[in-house]
Amino acid sequence: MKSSLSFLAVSIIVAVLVFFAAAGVGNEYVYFAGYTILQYIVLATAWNILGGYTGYVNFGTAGFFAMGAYSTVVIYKTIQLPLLLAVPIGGVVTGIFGLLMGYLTLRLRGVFFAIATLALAIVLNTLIVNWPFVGGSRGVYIIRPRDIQFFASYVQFLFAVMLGLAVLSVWIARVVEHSKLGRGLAAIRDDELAAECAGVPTLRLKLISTTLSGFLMGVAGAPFPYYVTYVDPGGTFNLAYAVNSIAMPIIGGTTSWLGPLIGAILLGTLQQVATVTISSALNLLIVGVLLVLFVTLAPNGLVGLFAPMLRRKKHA
Amino acid sequence: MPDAILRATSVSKHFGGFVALENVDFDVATGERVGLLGPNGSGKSTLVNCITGTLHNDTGDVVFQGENLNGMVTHQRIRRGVSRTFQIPRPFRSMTVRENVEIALMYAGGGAASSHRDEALTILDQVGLGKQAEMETRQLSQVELRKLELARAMAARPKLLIADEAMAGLSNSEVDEILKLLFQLNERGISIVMIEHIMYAVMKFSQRICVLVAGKKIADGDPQAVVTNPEVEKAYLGE
Repeated sequence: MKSSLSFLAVSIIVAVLVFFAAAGVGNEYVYFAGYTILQYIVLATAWNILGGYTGYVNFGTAGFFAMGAYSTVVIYKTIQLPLLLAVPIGGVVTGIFGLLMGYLTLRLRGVFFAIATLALAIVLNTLIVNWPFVGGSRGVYIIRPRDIQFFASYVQFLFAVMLGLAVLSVWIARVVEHSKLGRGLAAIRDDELAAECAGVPTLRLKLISTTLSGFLMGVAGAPFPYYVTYVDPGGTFNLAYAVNSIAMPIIGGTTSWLGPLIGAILLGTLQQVATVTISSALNLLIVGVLLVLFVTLAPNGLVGLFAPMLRRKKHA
Repeated sequence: MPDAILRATSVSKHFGGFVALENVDFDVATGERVGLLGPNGSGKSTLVNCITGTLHNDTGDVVFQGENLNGMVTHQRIRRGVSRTFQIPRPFRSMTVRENVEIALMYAGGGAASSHRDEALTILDQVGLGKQAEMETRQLSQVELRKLELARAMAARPKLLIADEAMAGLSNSEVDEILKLLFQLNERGISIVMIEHIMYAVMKFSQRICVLVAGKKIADGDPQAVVTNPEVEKAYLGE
């Protein structure tokens, strides 16, 4: 408990430093680019709780992300709550969806589970396309508030919100990893039947995992309408969210909270640099090439490459 | 059997048209050592799976310490004291040997979380894996993996342990090591069901033997009487 609070304190200090470093650059684009990288830290960390810790590969990240975004759209068009309240609501909505998805699909394993999550995202996409209230296939515009207290611009505020969410998601992932829950999830990932026979309540733990993962994907999507100011199914259910949120943990390493963080920073930064210097069309190509390289040369990701060296040093 | 810790009555299990178990009665007394025999495909593992909840029996009841386990999932049965090992060892590969045992202590063994590490080391010492505690499981030999299976089952604090071919593929001296461990567990009052093809081990260990053939129980009783039973001889050696 003490160690996780210390970790949280250090993370908050790092986040504050990042915020002031970004402010020091004096260019608004830093917030736009930084927001995307931070968003991927949340998404990759969320995916990793189910995919990395529990061993259930979710191809439906875009569905959860979009559900968080559309929760904000519904709130915007009805009760008009501030974004800081819309974010947890979006998280709760997708968390409940994650729980329901778990009940429906967790008896499936391996590739069948992965296909089921993809199918659920497609079903969700179809529902949104046919729901005129949230803009249907045409999409919907969101008007940002002109001013926001304590921040120079609304984009800076969005950057700060996503920075906070990134800290929260990484902290949650670390707490889970080192807890009894995390050990149970690791046992499920290694061998589900053996885990059940060691007394691990596998179904309950998997449901906690899908709910938590869904919650974090939802909070990553909730500020999105204010970031892009125009939300449509093509943008929110984009394949890039699903691909990146799988690729980032695989590149960083799936068995630790550090893996998705490193993967998201590396891949996210690379994609932003490519977007600015060459073309955003290169982004999926970059992911593809890196995935092939890592899956063949370093299947346990960067953390897996360096962990044995660190362990040896520790025991020396 | 008046002091039965486990009482399975009229247990049947079908897989489509295939009858894996048909009206099998199987009892184990408190502290008893029972050998469960049968040729491959006779239903031994299916019966074990029905007792531990990995499979659910189509008909019949599985009663443990007076409580009907029908409808309970595996981890609930494990926590009540029904533990098992696997025919092919199934260690948690991402964990050390000690962590493998700690998982069972955490989720089934109870006790204070702060004591799990020490308890795991004690159990590993008892099975002779004390020196391997911090190793990764891929570094273990076959007999060590079998011992780890037993250690993990012990960590769940069983009242009934089902050892499913715990000695398959081991040398004679290794078989004796595992047998010694099983005797030690039994001396602590744990009832043990041994599924095994190594007759020397079964005869040495079992107080009673039960034989399944094609999903039906054909013999149950004193080991010497059972192995000379003509029906058992026919099942194993043919007409």
